[in-house]
Amino acid sequence: MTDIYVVLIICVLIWGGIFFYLLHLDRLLKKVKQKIDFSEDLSSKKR
Amino acid sequence: MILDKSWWKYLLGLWMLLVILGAFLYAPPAKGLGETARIIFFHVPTAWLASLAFLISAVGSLQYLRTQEKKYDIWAYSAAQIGLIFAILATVTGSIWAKKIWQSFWNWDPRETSIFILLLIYAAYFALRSAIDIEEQKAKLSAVYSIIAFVTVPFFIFIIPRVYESLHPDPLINPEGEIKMDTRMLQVFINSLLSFTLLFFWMLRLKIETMKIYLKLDQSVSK
Amino acid sequence: MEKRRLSLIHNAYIVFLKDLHVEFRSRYAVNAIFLFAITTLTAISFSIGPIRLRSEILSPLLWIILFFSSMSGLAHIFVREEEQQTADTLRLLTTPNSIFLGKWFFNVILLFSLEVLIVPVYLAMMGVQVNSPGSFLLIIIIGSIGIASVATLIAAIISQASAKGALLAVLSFPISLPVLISGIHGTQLAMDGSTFAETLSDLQILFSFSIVIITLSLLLFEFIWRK
Repeated sequence: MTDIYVVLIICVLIWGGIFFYLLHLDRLLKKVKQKIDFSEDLSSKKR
Repeated sequence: MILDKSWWKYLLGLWMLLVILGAFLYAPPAKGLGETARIIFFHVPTAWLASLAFLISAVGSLQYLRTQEKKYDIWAYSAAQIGLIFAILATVTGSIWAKKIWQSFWNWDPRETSIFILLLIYAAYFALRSAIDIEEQKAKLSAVYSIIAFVTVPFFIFIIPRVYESLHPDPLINPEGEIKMDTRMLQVFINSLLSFTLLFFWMLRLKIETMKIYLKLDQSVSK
Repeated sequence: MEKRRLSLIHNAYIVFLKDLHVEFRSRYAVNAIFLFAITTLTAISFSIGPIRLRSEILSPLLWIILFFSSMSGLAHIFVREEEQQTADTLRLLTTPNSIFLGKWFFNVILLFSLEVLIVPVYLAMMGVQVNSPGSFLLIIIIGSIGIASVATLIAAIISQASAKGALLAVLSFPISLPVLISGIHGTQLAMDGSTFAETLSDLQILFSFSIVIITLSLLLFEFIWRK
């Protein structure tokens, strides 16, 4: 009977892992994009 | 694809959590199949999304051939990658379930066969891409292959029932044996379907954005 | 309009004849396909020995031989052009669709000539009794056109890639599955003895599939062929 709780907790943990990893990637991407846009602005202003 | 806001992502996190809890605590065990049927909340959405991803990839391929714009190739490639992930998940969850209820990991029944074919097509697509070095050729030829593979799909709808017809009919198409699902089960199921779809599009978006950044970096290096 | 259509067939025929001549000189594809088929058939017959098999097994075995022999021999028609660097000259000479049709026809004839030899030998060596020879022949013929069509199209794609050999089978297999499944099912029925009506659904699938693939090839080949 308690087996189902074990499976449940494992699933929650897996989802937690996936979710926070995706959030991390999301933030990383945002940062990289900002950096690229910034350097593009700089290089276009230089001309 | 304009949703740069973050709020829906946190909402998704919560939503999926509720789905998981609901799948194990709220929904009743299926009649005749018992607790193992709970896997349906995870197995069906992944399978459906794997197929949707294939459609998206094929559409992206078509657009690439028509317009030659790189962004469509990124679209096709990213959808194929996420689709492959979901296809593997669907196959594995399906196989685990098959072991539990039919005592064998693989049976070649219609559903299993069709997801396996999808896996083969994805694998072939990536094999083709990795065998070509020139970027335009890679994009063009894999786009052609994607379209060819997609066109064969309607045939499978007629073919697949033959593969297993000599043995008992596939119980997976109607796991409950009835057309109606218990209402609580249905609730969790619909929510699972929707939240998984949202998850899929989030992953797809992340992948596409990443590839676009690679593209930008390549372009600025070559300048 | 009539003139344009005639020149398509005409040019395709010339491409076919050219390929036929080149093939007679080197006999590469012919060797590959015949040797593979004979080797596989011998291995199967030898391993099975005197045991008489049911049609449910004999049918798939035949199609496995035909499919993988095709994989050995049918890619050559495009790969040769790229390897001997005659492809670019060919591009200048005529329209893409003429080239495709000529090479498609070559592959169909190649596969048919293989089957003229291998199918009777298979029936003899494996002790197969075919109770509906008409249906049997029809299924094999239309199915082979399907396999040859898929192989020609995919061969065109991979001729511009590296690691060509393995790639052809990997790419062709999922696309060929409708042919294989219907073909295997249909020949099994034909071996057991069936009315034309029973094999009709398989024949319909094989026929419509071939039409679809050839049409698709004519639409897409230009994208593949143009550099």
